Amino acid sequence: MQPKTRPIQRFAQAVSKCSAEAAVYGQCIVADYNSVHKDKCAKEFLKLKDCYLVRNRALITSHSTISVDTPSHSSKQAMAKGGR
Amino acid sequence: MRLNLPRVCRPQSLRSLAAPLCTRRTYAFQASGGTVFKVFNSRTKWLQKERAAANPELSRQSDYLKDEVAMRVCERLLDIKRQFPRVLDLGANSCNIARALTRENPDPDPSNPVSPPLATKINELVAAESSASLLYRDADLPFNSQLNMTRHVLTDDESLPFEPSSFDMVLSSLSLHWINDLPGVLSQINSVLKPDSPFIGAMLGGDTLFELRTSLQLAEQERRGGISPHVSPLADVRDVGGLLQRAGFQMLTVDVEDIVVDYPDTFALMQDLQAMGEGNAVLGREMGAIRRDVLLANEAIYRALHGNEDGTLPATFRIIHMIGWKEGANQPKPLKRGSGEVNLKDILEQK
Repeated sequence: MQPKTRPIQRFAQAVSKCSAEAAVYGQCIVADYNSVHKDKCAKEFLKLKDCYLVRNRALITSHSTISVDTPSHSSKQAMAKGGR
Repeated sequence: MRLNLPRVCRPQSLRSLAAPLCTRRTYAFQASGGTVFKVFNSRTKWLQKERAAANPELSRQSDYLKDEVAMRVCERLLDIKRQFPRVLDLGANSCNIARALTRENPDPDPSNPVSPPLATKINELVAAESSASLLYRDADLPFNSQLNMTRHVLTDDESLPFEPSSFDMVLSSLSLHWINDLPGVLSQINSVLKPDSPFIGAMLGGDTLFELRTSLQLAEQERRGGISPHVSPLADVRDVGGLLQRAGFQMLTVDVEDIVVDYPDTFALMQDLQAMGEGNAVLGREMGAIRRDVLLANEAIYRALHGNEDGTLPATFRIIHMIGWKEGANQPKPLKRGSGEVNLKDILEQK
């Protein structure tokens, strides 16, 4: 019944596999959240993003070889036009 | 209501109506044109609702919050021993109130005898909503036959096309928080009510979605060096009492309850909000989708700042319940100031 995987779903799925890097980045922000400025945790963020990019690529290749499987808790659309 | 606020402190949000910085003028004057401060884009809101209703399956799945609140609003009807010939449901969404009214045995107290559905107390329910698709989404479901309901599509959320003194009760569940001119709409509600009739409403307010608000702010601040509104400004409990009073309601009751929903991740939360038609419609928001970098950072920050131990993410919905009565003859009224004859202190000391 699921029409087709929206890009944001794959995004969410890839992000969910980077919890270790996300925790490091989150801790960096939360450690002193009253004085957050641009690129305060750029190093941690780039690690998180690298992880995401790797996972995302893995998802793309697995999707093209195996038939599309729907993620366990689908996060279809977080922010299409006008969304939060 | 807002006419007597000087221009320099025109409210930026409903919350700031009560901001202590604003000094109120003590005389009235008629400001020329454009007096209502716009916070929300009502066309965007309409589009979001239409879009949400276009996928009935997903939309029904994410109706849990609206159904729950509609149920709690209707429970308050149990206290009023009266028959209501004509009732208005303002901002009906997908007729969640009608569904709650037809529920069997609405009394949550198990010691009370089984009671009939609340719909038996209502002769006619008028469900008014601006989004036709959402309003008619469940028109084929069985609950429609259990009460006499007419659906009315509003052309404008903020002006009620009904005769004065034509309703015996007005209900409203989770839609007043998208109204720009809340004082105006409340006085219109007061005007369409018959004398000595109740208005029972619930809206999102205060700290609703504060977790999402804070983590998105931190994520945008860190990634992009600035913030844009992603969560609406909402009325506070303190404001609601004052607003009801100014609209002319008597015997006010205002209370708050928090509903905390746990989500697996921020994407599930935002997807559900979108399917509810509760997406961001603040005027002056940054147009277009939130950037992926910000979403990625937001997911990590939300989890670090607010996450539960079991790995889920809590989202708080603060519901402000309000009851007000239109003034009528034989209504109980507070006695005049200074007319009390019993000293409360004596009574309390006797205990």
